[in-house]
Amino acid sequence: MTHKSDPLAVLLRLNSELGMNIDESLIEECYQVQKDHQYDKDRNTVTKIQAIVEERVVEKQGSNLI
Amino acid sequence: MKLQELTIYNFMPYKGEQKIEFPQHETQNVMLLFGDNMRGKTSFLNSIRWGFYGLALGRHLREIPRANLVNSIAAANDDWSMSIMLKFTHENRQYELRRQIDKKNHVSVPKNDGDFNESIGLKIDNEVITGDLIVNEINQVTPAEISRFFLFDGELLQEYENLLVEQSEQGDKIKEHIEQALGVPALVNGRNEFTSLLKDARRIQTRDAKNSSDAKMYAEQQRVNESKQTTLEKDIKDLEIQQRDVQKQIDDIEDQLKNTEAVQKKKHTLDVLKRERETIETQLAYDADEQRELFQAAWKDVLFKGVQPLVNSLKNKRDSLLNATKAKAVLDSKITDLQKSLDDPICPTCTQNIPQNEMNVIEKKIIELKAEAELSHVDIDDVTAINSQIDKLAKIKSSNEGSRICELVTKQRKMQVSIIKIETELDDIEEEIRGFDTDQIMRQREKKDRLGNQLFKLESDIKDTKGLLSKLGETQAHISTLISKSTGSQGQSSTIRVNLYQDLEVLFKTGIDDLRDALREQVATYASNAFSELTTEKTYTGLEINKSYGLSIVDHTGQILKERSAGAEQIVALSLIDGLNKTARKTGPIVMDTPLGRLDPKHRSNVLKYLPKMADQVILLVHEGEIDPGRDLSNFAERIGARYQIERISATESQIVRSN
Amino acid sequence: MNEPNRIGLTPLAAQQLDELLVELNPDLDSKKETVKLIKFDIYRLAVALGIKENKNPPALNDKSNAVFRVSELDPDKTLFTVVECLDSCPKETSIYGYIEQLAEQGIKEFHQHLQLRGELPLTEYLLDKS
Repeated sequence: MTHKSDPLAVLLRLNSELGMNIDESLIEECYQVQKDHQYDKDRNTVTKIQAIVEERVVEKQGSNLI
Repeated sequence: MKLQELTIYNFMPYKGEQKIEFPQHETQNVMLLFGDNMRGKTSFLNSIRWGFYGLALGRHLREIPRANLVNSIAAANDDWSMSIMLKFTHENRQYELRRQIDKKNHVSVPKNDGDFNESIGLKIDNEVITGDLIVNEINQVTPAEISRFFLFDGELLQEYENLLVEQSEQGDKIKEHIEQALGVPALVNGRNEFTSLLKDARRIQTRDAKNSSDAKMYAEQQRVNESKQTTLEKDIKDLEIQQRDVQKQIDDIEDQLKNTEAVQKKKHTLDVLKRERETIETQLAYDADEQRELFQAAWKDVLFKGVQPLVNSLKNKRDSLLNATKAKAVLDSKITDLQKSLDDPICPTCTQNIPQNEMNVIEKKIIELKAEAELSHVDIDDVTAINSQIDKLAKIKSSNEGSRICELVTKQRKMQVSIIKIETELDDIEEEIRGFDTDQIMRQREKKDRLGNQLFKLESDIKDTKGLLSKLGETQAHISTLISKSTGSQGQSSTIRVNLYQDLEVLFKTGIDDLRDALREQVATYASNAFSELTTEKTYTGLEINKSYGLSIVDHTGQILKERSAGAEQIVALSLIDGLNKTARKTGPIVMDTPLGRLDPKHRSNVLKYLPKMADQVILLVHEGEIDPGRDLSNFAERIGARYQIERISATESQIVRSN
Repeated sequence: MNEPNRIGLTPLAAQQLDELLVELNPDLDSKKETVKLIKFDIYRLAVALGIKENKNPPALNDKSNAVFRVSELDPDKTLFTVVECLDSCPKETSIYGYIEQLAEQGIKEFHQHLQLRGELPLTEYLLDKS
């Protein structure tokens, strides 16, 4: 959009640099939500993000039980 | 983005409908709008700003209420409708944006913003865009956060100059502006939301941990900390409200004082003159005393001078009397000797009788001498009397009181002349500042100083509280980790959730910083290029923005310059703005309000040469005196694509008229 | 000749002397200790100037108020001595009588100058004309 460096690319790069091991698709999904609504007057992104993360929590819990 | 057309209806001084067409040409990309101060240049800028963002800014960046945006003559005729229409292109698409307000039906005379209805309409390539998507679309083209860098009012330039001069605040403020220009909203919003969601997740974790005996203690601590966090957040909010309020008060006083600067100077001069006069008057009083002291003894000085001639003549007389006495003594002695010879006429040498003829000679001589002696007779009483008079008169002494008094009189006259001069000046000044309440001005100044201290304290408190909050956040994270590690927590969903949010928060935060640093470098590069073209000092090669956002000028040896001339500050500011603008947006117009107003002649031609390069479209709002048609226009006459003039119809109405 | 013990001024000249004192002394409201002239100071100066300029004063045209003791006015008999030595005093007038006349004339002159010019022309009186 307005910047030479793509924020998403930066996030993904930092993810490995910092050794965080966050699921890349999770990062992408969260970022996309924010990007789409970044100028919205009444942003509803909190709920959306919460939903995305909850999904992962359940997934992870499930995989732990296995 | 390229502006094509602006249609103003009833906006501020522009009554009725007024249309402006922006130059579309690649090289003839400069538009000049001439207008005297207070005629509508800033309103023009605001019309564009309001068209895009529904926001018009007055002094100190305060939002202008809607009621003041509607042209006052139209309003007086009960026409409260106002609109701005913008036609522009962006990435090959044609945009048509229209923003309008009108008073609500039930309102007779609107006062608050709520008394108006606002409607926005947007068409992209003739396709109507639904209401809730409009703002987002506009911000994709021209984000609101960076609008200050292309809608460039004089106050902004002044603000930058000020902040470049006030070294202490420099770093923070510049950083703020850079981050505002470059902060990626998606990441910033993301980070903020993760922080909030993390808090919630921790709460859930705490609740779960209460059930596990190990983590109960941690959970309790977390709960306590969280309520502390909430309190601190509220405190910060309250402090910030106070801060804004105090800042507004300071701004208002500054506005008032600006008008009275000249008066304050005069008042100062007045005080200085009054003190001078006081000093002279004190000296005069002192001298008057001395004069009277001398006066008391002056009669002796006068008498002394009066009797001098007499004293001198008495002395002469005495001296001659004394001489006469001496002479007589000599004569008497001679007579005695001769008489002896007569009585005993034997020559002492040859012991012979002295012949008769010689005796006769002696007799004759004796008679002569006696006659002479008679003449030299001096009465000794006379001498005594004269001496006595001389003694009496000699008792009169003088200390030259007379001439000393005369000196003082001369000095007194001179000082009185000085006082008259001072008093004339005082009268003039007092006449000039009559009507201004100088005491009130003093009080306002003092109040401003007090408020300044208050502000400083508030800012310091805010900083401290934020520090505490941050520390608390760290503690919470730490406790959270402990809870996570404690037995039984590992698999729990609440722990998983907290960890995810924690990681995402850190990731986004680091992303923001990383991106900012990269972009800061870019800003520095662009700013540096601009600077080397704008500066007249050929030994300067560029600008450097250091890690703490300080700005320095670098010379050809790579050395950083400590001292900067006044002209340099304005150029540095312009360069920084250009750098920010270029980094923050790929393309777009700039609209500049009085950019040359305070530039020294040396830099003017450089700036005029450079301006057309700063953007694809450059719109300059200038006043008549700012550009000298004879000299300056030749610099970039070939770049001018459109010329307009703001014409004054009345105090509340102006008209924009094309003048090429 | 018998020398008087007290001399003074005619009522008119006495009033003029008071006015002169007011003129030459600082304002009444000055708080600091200042030097203040007394009647003697002006009287003596008037006499001294009269002597120096060899004036021929007329007799008093009114009765003298005779308020000044000569022993206080002229403690060292300086004025007396000078007049005596200069022999400027007419035979029929006592020396202090003559001095009184000089004072009367001098003070009237001071007052006249004050009226005409608004201030006493001290430089004119005191500047050495030699």
